[in-house]
Amino acid sequence: MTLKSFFASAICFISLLSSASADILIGLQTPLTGPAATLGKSAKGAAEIAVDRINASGGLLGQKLVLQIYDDQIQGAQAISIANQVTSDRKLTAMIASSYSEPTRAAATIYQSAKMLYLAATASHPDITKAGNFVFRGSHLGESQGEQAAAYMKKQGYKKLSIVKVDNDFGASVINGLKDRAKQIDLGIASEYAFSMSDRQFGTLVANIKRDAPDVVYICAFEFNGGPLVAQLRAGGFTGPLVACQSMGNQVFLQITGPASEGIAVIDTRAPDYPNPAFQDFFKELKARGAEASPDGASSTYAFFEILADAIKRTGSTDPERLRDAVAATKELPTIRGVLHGFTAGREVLQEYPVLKAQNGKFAHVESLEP
Amino acid sequence: MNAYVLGLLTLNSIMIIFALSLNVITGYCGQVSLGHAAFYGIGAYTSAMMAVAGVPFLATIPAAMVLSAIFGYFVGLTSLRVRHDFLAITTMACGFLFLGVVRKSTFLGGELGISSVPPSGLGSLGDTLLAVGSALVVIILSLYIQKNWTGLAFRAVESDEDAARTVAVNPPSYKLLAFCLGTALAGLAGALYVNYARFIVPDTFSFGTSIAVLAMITIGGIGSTFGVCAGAILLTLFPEVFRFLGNYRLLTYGSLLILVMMFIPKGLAGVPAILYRRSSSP
Amino acid sequence: MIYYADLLVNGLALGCLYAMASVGLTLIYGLLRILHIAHAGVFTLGAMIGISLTNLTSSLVIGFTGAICLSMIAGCLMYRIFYERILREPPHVAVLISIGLLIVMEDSFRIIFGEEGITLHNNPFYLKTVDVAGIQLNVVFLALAAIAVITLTGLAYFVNGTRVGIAWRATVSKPLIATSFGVDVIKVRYLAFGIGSMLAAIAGVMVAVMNNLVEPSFGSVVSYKSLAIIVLGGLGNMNGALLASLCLGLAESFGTAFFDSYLDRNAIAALVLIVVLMARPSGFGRGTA
Repeated sequence: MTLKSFFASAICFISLLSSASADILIGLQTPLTGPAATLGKSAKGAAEIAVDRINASGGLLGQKLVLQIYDDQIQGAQAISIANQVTSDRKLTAMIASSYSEPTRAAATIYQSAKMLYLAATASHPDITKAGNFVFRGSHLGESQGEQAAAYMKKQGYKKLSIVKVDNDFGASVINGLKDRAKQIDLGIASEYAFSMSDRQFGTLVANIKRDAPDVVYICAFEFNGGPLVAQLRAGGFTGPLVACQSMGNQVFLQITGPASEGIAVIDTRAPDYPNPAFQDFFKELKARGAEASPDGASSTYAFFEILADAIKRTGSTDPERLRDAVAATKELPTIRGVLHGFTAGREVLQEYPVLKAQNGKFAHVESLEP
Repeated sequence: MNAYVLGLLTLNSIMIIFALSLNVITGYCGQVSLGHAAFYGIGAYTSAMMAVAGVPFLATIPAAMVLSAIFGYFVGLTSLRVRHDFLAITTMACGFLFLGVVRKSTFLGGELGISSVPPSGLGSLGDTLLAVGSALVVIILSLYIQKNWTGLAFRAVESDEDAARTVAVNPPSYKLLAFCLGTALAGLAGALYVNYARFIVPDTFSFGTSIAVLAMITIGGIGSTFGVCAGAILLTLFPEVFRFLGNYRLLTYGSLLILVMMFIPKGLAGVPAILYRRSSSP
Repeated sequence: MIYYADLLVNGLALGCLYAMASVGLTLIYGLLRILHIAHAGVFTLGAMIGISLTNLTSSLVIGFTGAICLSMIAGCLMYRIFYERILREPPHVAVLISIGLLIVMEDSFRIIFGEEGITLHNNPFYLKTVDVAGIQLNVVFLALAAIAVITLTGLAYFVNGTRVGIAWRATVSKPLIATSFGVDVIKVRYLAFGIGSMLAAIAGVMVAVMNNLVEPSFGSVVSYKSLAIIVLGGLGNMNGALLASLCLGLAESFGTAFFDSYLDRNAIAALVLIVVLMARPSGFGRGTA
């Protein structure tokens, strides 16, 4: 045996030993502080529940799972800094990002070139997964949400639709998808309007929509601007049906709109009564930890732990390349968000789109749309 | 050298250039600008769009600087009509106008911004050296302006425009020069930033960024090159150094602004003078 | 036709909202030449206190009163603690202190009240509208508009027409001479901050009731527009401020109806500001206050 091969096998043996006794480190990049701290709190809660449960049932590959949380404060520069640090240390097996689009997209480039698994649980910017094959997304692409919304509205029998969107990347991508699909399935678009994130007075918009008198209005906004908009639409005398995107399907929206929320349909988010026992169980635990304010972000984060755990079990290792391939090969995995059919070639998730309706001040699950 | 340290060096160099660029306009020439992020943005968008179209990164830098300077000239024209508070508000409005146009323009990427900017080809060490080198050049340029005739003329315009006229210093030309120079340098910072982050969205160039760069020069010491560098480094490293503050980070940032302006209005650069006065008085 | 009337009425109402939020700022700028950006924080403070108190005591009256009193105190404290000592420094010092104050206030609200903000538990005025010739007008919006017009014209008369008001204006241009005429300059300043903050608080509570929501960044909607209004109104001129607010509101209302595919709402306001200032560098007002 040559000296070189002796050292090589010695190193292999030593690293085998160290990995056998080392824990598996999973990172979570999320805004723990700053204006998006609600998302961070929920993501952290979900991650902690996942890690506790996995460790309680024996860990993975006989090793304990350890969570490392990084606060990106929804800033691109912070995310880049964290990414540089983490990819230099190479202690993490994978990084889950539950944050906004800018910090996720900025960091994705770095994880890709370092060939470290980067799992985007909540960000919707289309180019995130285009960073490369080590980047996966667990929530639905904005475009696909828009497409499903178009299909849903066509199914309800609506012919003419007015679109209202918030001016940000999420709004832009959802509406792009909606308009493309609407054209294909012959759903007429009467008008399209946009407003900025900080707007709370929608006098002009309400006047426009009343004048257009569409069969249905689709709103892509957040609870703090979509809420006032819905309230003002109803107060202004518009009585037609409303359909909204996932970011308006939460408790705060109901609080703001009160009775004005009655009958609004929301696409691609899960109500507390989502018919999946594992989800309900998870949600109860989340509430107990006070982290239920961003349920979508939380469930997506938790689901990625389920996906990672499954992939690690299948490959029997935490080697980055093999793990990446295993994640990509995920098929029909039951998660708290329903059955994950798999990932597309572009590493987007293939999963159902639950639909909710607001009834008597609460959101109730109505049906699920399959991709 | 690990990526973390290289990244920090690059970001700090970019911020030093950005801060020094505002220092030329506001520090040397006394024209308050609350919309400086727009020029940082114009440089960034120019570089990003050219790079995505296949132009090599180094070639995008002069284009970014020139385009920023052209817009800087037009905004500088406003400084000939209004002064002080009114100029501050007008420049702030220019910043919002820039954001509004970019957000709505699909050509400029709209809300989705510009992503997948190709790397410069210099490698990460090369990128850092470029940024640090550029910062050094800008520092030397800044010191040079401070000491030579242009700097004197700027200071004349800043203190008393009418008096300046009497000594054949034409305020309008020097104000415009300050704006063109300052905005060109901001464009340089913007191009370097694009190479660093390889992804930009309109939010990167918000009013908050304009405030942050103004804070850098006022905390550092308006007019002083080294003071401004110190201010830039302090505020750039702030999130890293004060990570332990967690939820109270913004609170601390705001308090820092208040306290420094209240007790050391001349900024960090004024501290040696204060200490000297204290130690030499009986 | 109803559509254009709708836009007109909404624009005017929006203008009145901006006017209410900006009066205080105009008063303060007119008297002290300070760009009191933190005024937006007082606006939010009033709304937060008002809603919290109303939720606690189920009485809107108590909520209003509490909001007004606490905001007045806050405004005066801001002057005393932060601004008084830096009056002689260059203008950027006051601007940065004010911005720092606003950041501190907004973040404090976020920490205390949560970033989702707070809503009214029982809102009797929510979504109540009146039908005026086919246009639905929000009751609270109407009340706000009425209060704005009354307050601003009243203040304008006070500042231009009464002895006390003229004395106020004297303290701006020639504080030393004013003092020699027996005007208590310090008292005038506290009055300016107190009244300005009170008006902001009233506006804040009303907008909160109208929208059924107050969030930490509530004030940012108006804060920078208020600056545009002082400038357009012309150096603290009350009537100018009202006119400027109405113009801004109308410009936004009609502007977003027709140009919203090219410029967002803030950009439209910004464009109006730049165009007007370049045409008339002293704004709408007839020179100094």
